[in-house]
Amino acid sequence: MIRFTIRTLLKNKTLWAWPGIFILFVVAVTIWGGVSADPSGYSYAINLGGLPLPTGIVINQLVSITILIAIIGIPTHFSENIKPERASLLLSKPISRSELFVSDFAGVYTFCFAYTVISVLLLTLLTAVHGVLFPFHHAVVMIVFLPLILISYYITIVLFLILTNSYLGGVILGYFLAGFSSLFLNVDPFLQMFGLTDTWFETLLNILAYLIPSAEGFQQIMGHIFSSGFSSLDGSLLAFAFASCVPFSLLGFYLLRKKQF
Amino acid sequence: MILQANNVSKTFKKSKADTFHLNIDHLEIQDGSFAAILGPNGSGKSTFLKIILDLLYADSGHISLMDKNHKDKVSRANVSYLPENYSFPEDFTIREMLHAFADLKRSALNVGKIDHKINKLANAFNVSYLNKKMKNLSKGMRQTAALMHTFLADDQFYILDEPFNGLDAVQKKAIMDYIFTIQKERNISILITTHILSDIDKTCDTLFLINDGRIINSATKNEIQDQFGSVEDYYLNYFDTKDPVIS
Repeated sequence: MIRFTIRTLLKNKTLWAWPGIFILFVVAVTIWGGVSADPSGYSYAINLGGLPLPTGIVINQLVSITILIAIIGIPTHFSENIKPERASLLLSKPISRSELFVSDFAGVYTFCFAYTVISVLLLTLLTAVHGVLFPFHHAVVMIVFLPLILISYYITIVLFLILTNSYLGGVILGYFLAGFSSLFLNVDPFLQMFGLTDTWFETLLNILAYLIPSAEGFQQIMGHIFSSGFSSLDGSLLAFAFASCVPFSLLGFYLLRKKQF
Repeated sequence: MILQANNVSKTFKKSKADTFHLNIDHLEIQDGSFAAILGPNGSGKSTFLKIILDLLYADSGHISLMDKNHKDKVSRANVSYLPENYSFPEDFTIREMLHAFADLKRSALNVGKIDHKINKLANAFNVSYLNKKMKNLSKGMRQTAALMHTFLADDQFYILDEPFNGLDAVQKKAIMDYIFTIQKERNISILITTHILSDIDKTCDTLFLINDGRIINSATKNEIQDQFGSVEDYYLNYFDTKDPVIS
């Protein structure tokens, strides 16, 4: 089933835009710009058409576009797989609903991991062409955390797909709810901004923070390591981000096991 | 015994005002048998097949497949199913689709053997368009590809829900010939649902009539020939309730 998932993802033309964006970026910088080593030797600087581009912003933008492409493209196969017309073919092989759920996540993770490695290799190629070494911690943090960010969005989307049977509804709800998770990492300023000083409201937000997969948690960790190296890894934030993925995963698993086709 | 169902019931809401009840008191199909379930639209044929395959959960009752509970994956691993409505990945060619689905079977053949089997089926089903994408197929071609997918595995029991939808007479004959050949070779069992009576007139050895979720009659081929002459007359005897129009 993992191979089936990967096969369908590789056939998805929307997802070709992911490596496409990176190839376009590499080609554009190679033709119209350049890459130079940062004086600190810890990073590198990119310029395009004579304009210097801060590395952090460039990578952030590439990651954001990648997330958007993946969120639109990846759930299409799951949405198809849980329609009765496809599910009856898959489950009669026979594949159990549990196997369908678990191997789908394994397939999606493998796909995201492979495409991230390709993206990192393209960035490494870009810097290498200009005689600059792509920082090791940038490569590792992207390979480790980009698939995790995508999986945390995907968990939310899968839950809503199982509940609503609607691709568009699932993707939109999943995207906004997982995006909403950024709020939970900044509860205090938010409460002060709206004058919500009741402790019960803070408690409610804290509970929600552990219920909704925290894509923002993984993104913040990625950002910290990007700018300050592995020493800035926040273990408690990492544990929180993983813990927040558990409730929706278990709920999705339970609901799919009960689903009839 | 390839299939035995006892006291299987399932109730679900078709719409706010309409509730459907399926009640199969007893149904059994022998090894090597070619059985058909006949009934009007909405009588519960597909629902019953889906319960056998655990796609729908029965409220009560017991089903055994090859002498094991139907929920046991080991027994279902020897069953191939063609649903009435199906959806294959549209961007796959027929060959890619067959490889992808063959891979899902526990008894998956290796790539070389799958290719050999695909070519054998393509030859038997007159398919010369294996490299055509699923989205570019006509209804008949799509149905043939779906049947190829069903017969790709060397299983013991084939459950076919309206398998001849959209097929022309030549294609139907090619597929029936293939089914008869493998039935002789491997003593497979077939359970088919259809509402095109001519499709099964000379082929089935056991028939079940279903109406409003209940098996209202069953008969062997010989019994039907002796009492009614043809499957059509047998069917009409139970379902044609209209008075003849007199001009």
